Amino acid sequence: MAKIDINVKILRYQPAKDEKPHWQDFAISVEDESTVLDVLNEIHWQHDGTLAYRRSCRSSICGSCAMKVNGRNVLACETPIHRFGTKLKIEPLSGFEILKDLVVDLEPFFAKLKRIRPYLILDKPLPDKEFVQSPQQLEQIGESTLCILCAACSAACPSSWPNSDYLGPAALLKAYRFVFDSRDDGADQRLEIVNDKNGVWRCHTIFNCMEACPKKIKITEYLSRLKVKVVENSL
Amino acid sequence: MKIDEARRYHKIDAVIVGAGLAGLRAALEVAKSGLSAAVITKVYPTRSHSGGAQGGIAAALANVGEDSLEAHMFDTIKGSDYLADQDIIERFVNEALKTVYEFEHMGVPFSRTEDGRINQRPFGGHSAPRACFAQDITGHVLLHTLYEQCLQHNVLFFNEFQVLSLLVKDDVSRGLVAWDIREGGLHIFHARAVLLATGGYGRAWKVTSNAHANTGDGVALVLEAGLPLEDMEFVQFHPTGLYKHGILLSEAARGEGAYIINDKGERFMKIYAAAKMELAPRDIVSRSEQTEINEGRGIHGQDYVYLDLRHLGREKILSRLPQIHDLALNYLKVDAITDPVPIQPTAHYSMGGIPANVRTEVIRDAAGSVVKGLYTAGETSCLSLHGANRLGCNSLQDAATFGRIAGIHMTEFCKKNAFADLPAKPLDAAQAKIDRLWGGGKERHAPIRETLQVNMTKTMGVFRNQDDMLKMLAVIKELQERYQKVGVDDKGQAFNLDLIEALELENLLSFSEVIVEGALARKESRGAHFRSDFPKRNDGEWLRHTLAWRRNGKIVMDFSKAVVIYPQYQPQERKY
Amino acid sequence: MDKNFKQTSRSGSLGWLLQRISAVILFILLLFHFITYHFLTTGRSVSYQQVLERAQSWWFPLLQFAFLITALYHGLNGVWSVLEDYTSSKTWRLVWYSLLLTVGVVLLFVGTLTIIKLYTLKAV
Repeated sequence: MAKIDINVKILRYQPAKDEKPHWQDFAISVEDESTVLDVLNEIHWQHDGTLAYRRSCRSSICGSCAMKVNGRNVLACETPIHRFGTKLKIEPLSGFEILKDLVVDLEPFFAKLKRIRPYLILDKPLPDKEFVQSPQQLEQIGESTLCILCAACSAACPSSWPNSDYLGPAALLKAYRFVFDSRDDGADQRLEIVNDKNGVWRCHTIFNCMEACPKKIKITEYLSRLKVKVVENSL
Repeated sequence: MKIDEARRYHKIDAVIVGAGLAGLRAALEVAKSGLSAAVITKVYPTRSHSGGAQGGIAAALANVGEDSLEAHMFDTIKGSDYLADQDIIERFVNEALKTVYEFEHMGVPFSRTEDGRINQRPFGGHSAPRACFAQDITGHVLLHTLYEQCLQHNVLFFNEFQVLSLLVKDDVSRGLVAWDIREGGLHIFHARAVLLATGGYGRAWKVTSNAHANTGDGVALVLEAGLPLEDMEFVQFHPTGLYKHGILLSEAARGEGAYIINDKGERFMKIYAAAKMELAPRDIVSRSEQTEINEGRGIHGQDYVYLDLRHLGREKILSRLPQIHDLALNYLKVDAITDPVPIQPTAHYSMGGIPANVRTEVIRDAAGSVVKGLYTAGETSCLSLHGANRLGCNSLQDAATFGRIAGIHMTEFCKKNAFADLPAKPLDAAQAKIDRLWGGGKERHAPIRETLQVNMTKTMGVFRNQDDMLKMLAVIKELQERYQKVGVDDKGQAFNLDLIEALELENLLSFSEVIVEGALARKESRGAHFRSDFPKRNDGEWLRHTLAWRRNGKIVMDFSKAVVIYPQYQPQERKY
Repeated sequence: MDKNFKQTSRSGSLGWLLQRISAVILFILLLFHFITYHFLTTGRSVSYQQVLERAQSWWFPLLQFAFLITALYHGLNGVWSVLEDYTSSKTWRLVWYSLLLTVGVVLLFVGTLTIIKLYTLKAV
């Protein structure tokens, strides 16, 4: 372990005094094994207390600290700085309103999630014990349940940027997760919601979401399966 | 009332603080009954640290091997080193199956057996394969599923709000005051019933598996309201924290067969727990690790040992333990398929907390008198279900089961009781906290926190002794004094992280004192609390709970709260 | 939280499906095109006479016409879906749509004329 000097460029925006976001440079010295989150903590704790960002679990499961580092959407907590050399450029996720510094407004993101009815819809009576679901049936949705709702995918989606009404990859992935759950009976309702120009059809298989996903979920592939399902359902 | 004031006054039947498993489960129960339920959380609900739980949720479904409620009960009692209250455990194991089936019906994607039932695996201290799991992201999928259920049932969410004071007067809860992190400003929440489900207090340590959010806000609020805390000295150290980071590597690794080895390549658990080996309870494994390290058998003589997964093979590691594989790779650049992973004990779970009875009502003395309308569930509570040491997978079960139970009793309470009047000047206490931090003090919160955490890890870890703890107490006193002079750089209203961290630090300093005082007073070794100067368990004097209040700035203790013990489960020597 | 996102009430499923079907047809036609134009003629010189003969066989204009229709649809529909992402106002959408439609009709006309001309051309 050794200390290294790095240069960090952060896109700052303080709503009380800034008219628009601007870049600020910090020259600091950190452990070479630091993560991007360690760097932000160091700046916040030792250099500038006014810096705002979200973080919590530190172990890439809570999804708080998604941000853009050197042009890529990453989770700050799991991203070692050695990936970038000694120059870091940190900015908030694109496509969302900035509330302050690296903190963006996620209310629309979560509201979209609610729209696709993200819960099991059942017509059948509940069994005494569990529903029977084979490992093969579970396999269909297994990877999609890894989603931590960090919003890195939606923030990377060129179709999302100009269309604030587009449901976006995260909500659509959630729709996939329930439509393809062998226990669910609500596929018709959900497919009707996503069968819209602002639903699944706004996805043009650009693959940015997949590249941005810190959980390496094959989002684009699942969205394609969802499209096929919508077409099958409407034929 | 002006419009702005109205926006900052909320009248809601049940207000739930914390959006982890316990809080969400309670909110869901209240909302389903038709009452209004609001969840106040300082992070978005899906960011809660319940999501960090990896291994599983314990229930004797007997899907994979023979199991019984009695076995689950006995394992939990023995795991607790006999400090847990057995009436609580009885209710817990009786409700556990229902809790898991209910989750499954909500759509939780549990891993499955070949015949399509919920799969189960072995876990430390459990005598049967009892951990129901979803890969190694069990907490994550439970949390998300519950959140989605809450969306369906129109639970109100106040995301990014920090609670600053409880409005308790004449032993009746009336609501609380919270700071709106997003926009700034204080809000009054007037409630019939309040639930505290704020999670653990592991952030007082430097090496910890806990999230930044786990600053024990609930326990500190209760202490500030003049109410007691219970068994705060019992903090579990998890044996498989990622070296230096403290991040959790799930016990599921050992459940699937991973080894722990020292510098000589020996599975040293054979010396300490020959029958259970790596699957002994966490307190025992952590202590064994620390002993190996202290005696120079850490890897290269350093302060870590290895978690060895290599013999499990690529396929099993990637299908059953993908998160562990990713964490080791991302943080330490170690590929668990080909190399052993450096680990050390890490502060993990808070057995102590806010005392409550089996109905989750907060109690205010050893006799069990309740605070009307105040409830607690999950890690922040001390029922006491886990006693001196919690078994793996009992925490998710605890949070969900007692979350539901809390919801049931809060609903009942709300239907029978009117809103109690707010005390005069309800905002004053909260406003004073903010004003002081904006008052231009010269001290900074970061170095105070760092000093506290480093010293807590040094003195209040797996092994404790009187000298160290007395020094720690002095450190805390000094830091509390320095805190009086803390000012924050950021004077803005919106998303003021500086302010929030300073407020959290006040909480850390407050309850840490109780932890040290409790550990100093308890002159025995039991479960996770091990004193080198009193290495034996002492049932004669110490088979009892610790209650602690802050009165006139001093910690006052009471040891008269007895442990509930059934005739058939008398304390025995604890061997694995 | 309960913000209502605008649903367009327009499904994109037919457009998506036709885009995929036209892609498959284009692929097959392209294969055919490459085989007949390039691979079968490799290594020998092609005379005016031969080209004319091929152009005036019964299958050639049919093939060319199918090619013209699918290529126009596929290309213009693709451009339209990109434009639609970046134009939110109804007026602009109408302008772009009309423009694309006009381009489509003009190209269809010119293309059809060419095919007919080739078919009816007299040999010298």
